Amino acid sequence: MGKIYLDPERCIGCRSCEVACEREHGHPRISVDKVKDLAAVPVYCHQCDTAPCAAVCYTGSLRLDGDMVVFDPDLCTLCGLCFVACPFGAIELDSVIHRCDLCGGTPVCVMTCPTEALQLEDIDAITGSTRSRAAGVLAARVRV
Amino acid sequence: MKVDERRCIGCRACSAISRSISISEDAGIRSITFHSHDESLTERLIEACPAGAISSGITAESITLTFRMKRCSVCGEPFATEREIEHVASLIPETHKNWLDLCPECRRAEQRRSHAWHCIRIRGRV
Repeated sequence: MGKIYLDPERCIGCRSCEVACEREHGHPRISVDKVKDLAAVPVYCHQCDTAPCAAVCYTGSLRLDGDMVVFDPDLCTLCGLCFVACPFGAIELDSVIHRCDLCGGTPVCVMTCPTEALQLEDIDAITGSTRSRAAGVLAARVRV
Repeated sequence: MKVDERRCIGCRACSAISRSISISEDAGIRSITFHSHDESLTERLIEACPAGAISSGITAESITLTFRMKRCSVCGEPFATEREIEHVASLIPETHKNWLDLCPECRRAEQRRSHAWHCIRIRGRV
């Protein structure tokens, strides 16, 4: 299915992703903030390949399935260990767990992002486009 | 039910199930009080405890366990019990677990800062 990737140079800090996520889920699972008024960066679940949230989940409520971490709320005990374990602070906990489920395959944050800073891609496509962009920058410099 | 205070890590699992288990936080200490209790829930509590701290048995009096909270190394806010952090660290395979010293809010800020630096450097170059 692919994961959400960020091109931080494209983010304009409009928070459309955050609003779309909140509209979809009632509570935003992505959060945008500015750093020293110079750049804006959204922070969200990376669906880690070695997911610490799934490693600490002892009921199987959070588990790796293919290249994403799936969540079964019926098995969740609300112990809060995933909230402690997440390296990105992307899990929130009140009376339920708030974490990204990729909206079942079509994430509204990606759909909404006006600058395509957020993209749903598989790793090969993303590394390919990053490589060709970096090559383009180098080539432009060589020409000068 | 009985609770083994050497095993309990001070998470929220049991207090989310039973209303006779209350949890509170104050001045860097989390307290969990186990009041005398509807035994019909014991089975569920045993299953839900991540540390195997709960067993069957009758406890007439209520007991309170206290746990020191870990404070974020950046902002100083308490965010989890020290035992929760130890428990999580023992289950995560990575060798570097330095993010466990930060609260979730500061982990987000840290990630933002590193991405932002990347952008600012590139923009400065143009």
